[in-house]
Amino acid sequence: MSDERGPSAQGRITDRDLLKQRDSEIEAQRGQIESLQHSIEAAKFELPLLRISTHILMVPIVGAMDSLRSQRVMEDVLENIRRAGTKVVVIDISGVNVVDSSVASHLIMMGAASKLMGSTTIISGISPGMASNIVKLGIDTGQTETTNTVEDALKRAYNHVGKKLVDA
Amino acid sequence: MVVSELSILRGLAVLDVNVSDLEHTGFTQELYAQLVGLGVSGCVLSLSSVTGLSRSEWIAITSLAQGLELLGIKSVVSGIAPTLAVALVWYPTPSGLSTYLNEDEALDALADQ
Repeated sequence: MSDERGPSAQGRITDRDLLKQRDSEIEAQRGQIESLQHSIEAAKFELPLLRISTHILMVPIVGAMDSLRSQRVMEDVLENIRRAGTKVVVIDISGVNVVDSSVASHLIMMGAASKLMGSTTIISGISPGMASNIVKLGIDTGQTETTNTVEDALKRAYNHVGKKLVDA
Repeated sequence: MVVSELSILRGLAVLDVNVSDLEHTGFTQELYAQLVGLGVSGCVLSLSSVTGLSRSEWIAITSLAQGLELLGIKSVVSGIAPTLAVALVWYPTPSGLSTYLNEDEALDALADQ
């Protein structure tokens, strides 16, 4: 005998069930959005770590540089030194628009930290304006080498590992 | 007191630094005496087991190295992990102190001297 009132109580989908289902769908979508946001944030800070030779690593930084990004550079570079035994790290900042005191401090701090790990950091692409700012800010660059051009930095880097970079 | 974390590799001493040892009275002198007795020319202070150091602990380690230098034992530090390196940046480090990534590199450097 069929029930004319509709589906049995067991099979009936209530409004509450629908709301629950909707909530879980919204929760799943929220999770996906958060995951995407994390990926976008991570991509923003992604930096190419270019291995120039067995012991030389180059990190070209382009675009805006803030303290969060410079912190990320420091963490990635130090981890690379630990993992790969990198002897010289060349950080080229010629493509960076503005280097404020906080960013400069992070870069210089990275130089000091990498030295403690037995590696040398060379920062290239220091513009006259940046040099002037760093001096005015009284930032101690004693643990870090700096050059104006990437070419000079690479020459120094090769010298550090007992090799010489010559013009073809 | 016996400095148990001391080993001899390639004719050079390697001390696996244990921070709590540094606090014991007489540890430094005992270490100095043992190294002089062993007749080693160099010592690696390995921090590979150390995850964090206070300012005073770092100063104790660098002082240990300076004392060894006074005894004619060239000493270097090795095995500083990334997070420890970032912390140590804020502490004073003697300009003459050499630091290396690992024990092998430190031993190579000492052997070359």
